[in-house]
Amino acid sequence: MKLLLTLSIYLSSALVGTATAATDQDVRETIRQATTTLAAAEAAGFAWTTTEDLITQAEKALGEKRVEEAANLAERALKQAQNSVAQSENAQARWQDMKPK
Amino acid sequence: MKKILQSVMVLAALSGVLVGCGAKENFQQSVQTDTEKFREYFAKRFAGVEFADYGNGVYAIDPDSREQWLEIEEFPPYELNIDRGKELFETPFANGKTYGECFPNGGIGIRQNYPQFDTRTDEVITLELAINRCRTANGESELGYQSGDLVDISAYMAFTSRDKLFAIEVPSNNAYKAYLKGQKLFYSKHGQLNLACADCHMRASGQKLRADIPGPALGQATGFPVYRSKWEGMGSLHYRYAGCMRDIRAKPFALQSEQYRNLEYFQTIMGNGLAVNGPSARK
Repeated sequence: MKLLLTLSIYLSSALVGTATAATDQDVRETIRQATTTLAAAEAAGFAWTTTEDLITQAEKALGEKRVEEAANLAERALKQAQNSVAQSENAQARWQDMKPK
Repeated sequence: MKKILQSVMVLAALSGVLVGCGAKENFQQSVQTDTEKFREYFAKRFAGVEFADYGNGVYAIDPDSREQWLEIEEFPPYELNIDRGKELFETPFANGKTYGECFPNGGIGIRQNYPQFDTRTDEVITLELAINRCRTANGESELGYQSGDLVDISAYMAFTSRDKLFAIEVPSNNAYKAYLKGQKLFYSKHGQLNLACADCHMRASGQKLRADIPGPALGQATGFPVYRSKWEGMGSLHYRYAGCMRDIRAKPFALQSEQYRNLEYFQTIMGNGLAVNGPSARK
């Protein structure tokens, strides 16, 4: 029973690992999404200084075939870009809350 | 029938004028209310600080910093910039004309009227933008907005206006829209640190943020351009805005962008009635 449990844990870990391993194409797509989302944030006036750096680092890592690192950087860039867009939407809806009453 | 039609048209035109007047009164009232609330906020936060002292930034509210600042002001580090600005201001362009010819009163004692809203072009014109437009209208190239010659000229023009009271107007509905955009930027959170101008310069003003004490937003624009110890030189208000944005990890706007001009417009209106005290020294 113990052997069966260990085996199933090992197998499921291996499957998860396979499912999350990024390919060059995946990373390129994430970089594309991050770049597009950052452009939307910038158009709204809410771009962050850190996002562009992450995209540049992701592209560099991908160019040097460090795919896992590139995937991680690209994901972080995309998350930041999404957060900056959410920040602009929040500002649009709630900026007046900050005014002195 | 024709007379009836004419009467209807006259009435319609009159009602349009009346509606227009009403709208103007409404936005003037809104600006007035904003200004009162803004000042009340600081009056409650820093009880005992005179309104006129808010032009001195953090030195109005922190006695230790004030002491150091008064010592610095005994031998002002911006004096050479005023001299240089005067020299540049008085030097004719290649076409023989001067800066003075671009401004009312020969450009002397007019800082308190900037930024102003140009109802012909529907945009906020800062003093620095007006200086550069004067240059290009006379066939000269634009100067940089961060520091250097343009800032020195602005410093000299501010110096000739010292003690005059800011009196920035909101002359039209479009001017009010520019004011609102500036106000929105002031109160909106930006950057990875998710902070608004109001977070540091209202809610945290007077408190320690690491080694710094953010000054109150009221009167922040009156002393510019400033000699900043950190910069080891003079810099413009928009350069400071860009620095603030970088500090909160927000991508700054271009100096003299519409965003910063509107922000300066809003901030200066909040400080209407304060005296021009630029150029000045800051940490």
